[in-house]
Amino acid sequence: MRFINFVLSFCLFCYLPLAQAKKKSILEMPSSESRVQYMDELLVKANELKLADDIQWLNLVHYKSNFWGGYKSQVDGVVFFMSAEGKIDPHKELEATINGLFSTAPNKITEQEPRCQFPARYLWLKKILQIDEPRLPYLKCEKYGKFVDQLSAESVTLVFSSYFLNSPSSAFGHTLLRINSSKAVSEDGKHHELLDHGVNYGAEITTSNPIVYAFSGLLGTFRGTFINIPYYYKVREYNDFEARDLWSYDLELTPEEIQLLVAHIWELGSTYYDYFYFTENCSYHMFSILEAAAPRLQLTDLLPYYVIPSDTVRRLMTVPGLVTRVSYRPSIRTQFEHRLKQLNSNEYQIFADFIHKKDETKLSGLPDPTQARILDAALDYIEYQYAEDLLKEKSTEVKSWKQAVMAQRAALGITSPELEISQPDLQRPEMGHGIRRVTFGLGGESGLGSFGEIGFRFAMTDMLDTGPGYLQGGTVEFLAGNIRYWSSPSHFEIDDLTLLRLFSLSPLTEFRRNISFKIEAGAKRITDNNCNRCIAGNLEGGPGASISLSGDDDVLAFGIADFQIAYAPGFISYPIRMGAGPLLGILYRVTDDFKASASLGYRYHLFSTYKETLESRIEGRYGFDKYWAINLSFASHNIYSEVSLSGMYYW
Amino acid sequence: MKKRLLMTFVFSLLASCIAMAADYGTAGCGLGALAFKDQPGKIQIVGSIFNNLISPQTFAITSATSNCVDESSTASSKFISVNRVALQKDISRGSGESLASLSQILKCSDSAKLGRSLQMNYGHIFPTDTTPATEIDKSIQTTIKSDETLAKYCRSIG
Repeated sequence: MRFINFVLSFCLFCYLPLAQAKKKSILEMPSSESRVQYMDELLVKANELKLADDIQWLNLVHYKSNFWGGYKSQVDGVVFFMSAEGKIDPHKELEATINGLFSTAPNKITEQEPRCQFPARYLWLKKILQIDEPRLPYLKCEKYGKFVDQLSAESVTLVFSSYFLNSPSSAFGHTLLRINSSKAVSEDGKHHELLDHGVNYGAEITTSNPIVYAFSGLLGTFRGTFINIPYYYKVREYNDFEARDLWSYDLELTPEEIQLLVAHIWELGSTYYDYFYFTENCSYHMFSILEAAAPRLQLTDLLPYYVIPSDTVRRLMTVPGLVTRVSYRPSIRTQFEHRLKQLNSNEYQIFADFIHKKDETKLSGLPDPTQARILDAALDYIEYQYAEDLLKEKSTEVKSWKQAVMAQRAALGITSPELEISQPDLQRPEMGHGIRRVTFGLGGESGLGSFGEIGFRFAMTDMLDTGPGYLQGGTVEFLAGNIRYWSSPSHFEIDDLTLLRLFSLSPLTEFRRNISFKIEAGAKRITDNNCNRCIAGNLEGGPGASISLSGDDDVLAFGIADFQIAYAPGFISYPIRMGAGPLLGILYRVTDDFKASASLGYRYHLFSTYKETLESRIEGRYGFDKYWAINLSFASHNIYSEVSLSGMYYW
Repeated sequence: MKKRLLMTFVFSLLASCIAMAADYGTAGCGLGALAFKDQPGKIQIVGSIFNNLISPQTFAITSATSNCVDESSTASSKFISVNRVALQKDISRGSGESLASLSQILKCSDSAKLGRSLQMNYGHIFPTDTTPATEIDKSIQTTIKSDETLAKYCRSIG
């Protein structure tokens, strides 16, 4: 009876008509002899069809061809391979997988039979070899069945979590997949995203030592794993806790591809990869699993050697018809700002008093709907500003304050209308310029003559880069450099080698106490008279503040306490110097395509012969499109002034 | 210490999307994990609510779906424990996404009605700022049961 149930429940995948399948399976219980025969039959067929070289097989086991024409799987967990040589041999792995279909012995680690552990491989083989399931041993695959049921996948969405400069690890953004569940759709057809599932790929951090951490990530000694988690965890984490907007890209996949994707995610759940920061990271692997399910997409083919999250969304858009809808999920900060804008100036003042002085006296005199709007704004404000406090288990001052405000809000008995926030097109991450940039420039310095210049940036953006897709007032640059060629006397000179440059301007408002900051690490040419144009190892930056001088943050003025530690054997008095002083400036977004900045920096240096340095800079950039821009800059240092004009190409 | 902090900052920037995953990967599941014990700048929010829900991870994919929340608790209670901050706010407003999702979990066909009813009973459902999720869950269920018209709309209650 159980057997019939089994056949019935898997009937969706049967190729034989139901009645016939039932009859056949009952009458001809597969004997071990006929199984061996059938196994051989399948192996021969697989060989004839050259399945081991099939792109889908290669994708499912994550094989990549190497320089010598051989293959190696990117997966590093041993349990992922049926054959002992599976990691480097697609043929042996296929053979072992087909053998495994006939096995009823569970794997010791995963506690699952091969067919249940590798449902995607099985689904694919079943289709392509037209496997007659009743001729395989009966398996229930309970855990996998439960997983499939839990997901009830209907469609798939790639989610991009926007940049968040205040937390370093999220400065490049993040990507994950959302598996949209039929269980999340209510009777009226409304889809409740919170009830979907998120599939996340990330490293298991095993150290708190920053140096070990850095090298582990570059050398790939952390383990990267796939995790499936209710999507609401991700929303609470990104949208609420970190106040990051989420962008969703609905993908056009066939039901068969979705089924295969879910099965493949299950396969990867029991294994791990070695995690490499820039090559095999979350962005790359979101693509690698999509490709395993749908090789037609060829998503990783055109990817550059290293990828970051924003590359993935741009790449998605280049596959015709793949993205059916782009949607936006505002963060708690965006929600708060939207509610604040809905208040008139009188209400705004009452709101401010309520927040700052906890003064409720003026509130009680207002009509109920107005009170509701003010209290709604207050609640979002508290959640945004005190996200950490609110997650504490014990009672805190903030928690009890919010508790009281909510009770007050509930007592009004008014239902808040749905918040309608339109999609901010200027922030759409897939519309932004490429993160890689090459610069060609010409310029001159007073007293030194003219130079030609070539520069490269590995990633990602600086605050003068124009166009949509990035935060206004945000610089995140990783590995960038600039070399100059001087004509007389003819020589090359390194101008700048940046390991990392972060500059974040988050304007202060009455309700936002964000700090702005700058951090820069690398090596650069010293432009004051403490050495003869030497290159110095350099660490500089500090905290500061900025304010917005116009609506929509088009004009930002900033001040930074700018510290510097520089090392160069060529410094005339002492090889190390330490300095500090103010850096003041203004950033102006004139149009979406034209940005300009001006800054003035003064520092006083210890351990230095010439104690004071002064540097001023004016720069303007015009972006023709998302690929090309032109940049003009004037800079004046203690002893030199320079001007340079350059063309920039992004990809 | 300062130096260490700075180093952490600089190096973790290299990580691209790495740390996000770590939130769940090592510390287990739940928002409690958002606070790393040894990560500066983030306070410890180790909610025991979350910690006692983690069972041994033998199998990442299954564990992530089932381990994050105690399997024995009800679907609504699991949802409440993680979405509590947003849900409580929604109930005080009588509407919102988290409330609509709870309505779906409870198989209520009219989330607006549910919202109004829960809003009316707000004080009963959230008596203190530390009421445990299971208690909140129970109070929500009794609220629905005691509202005759509403009980008819919610198929999971009965």
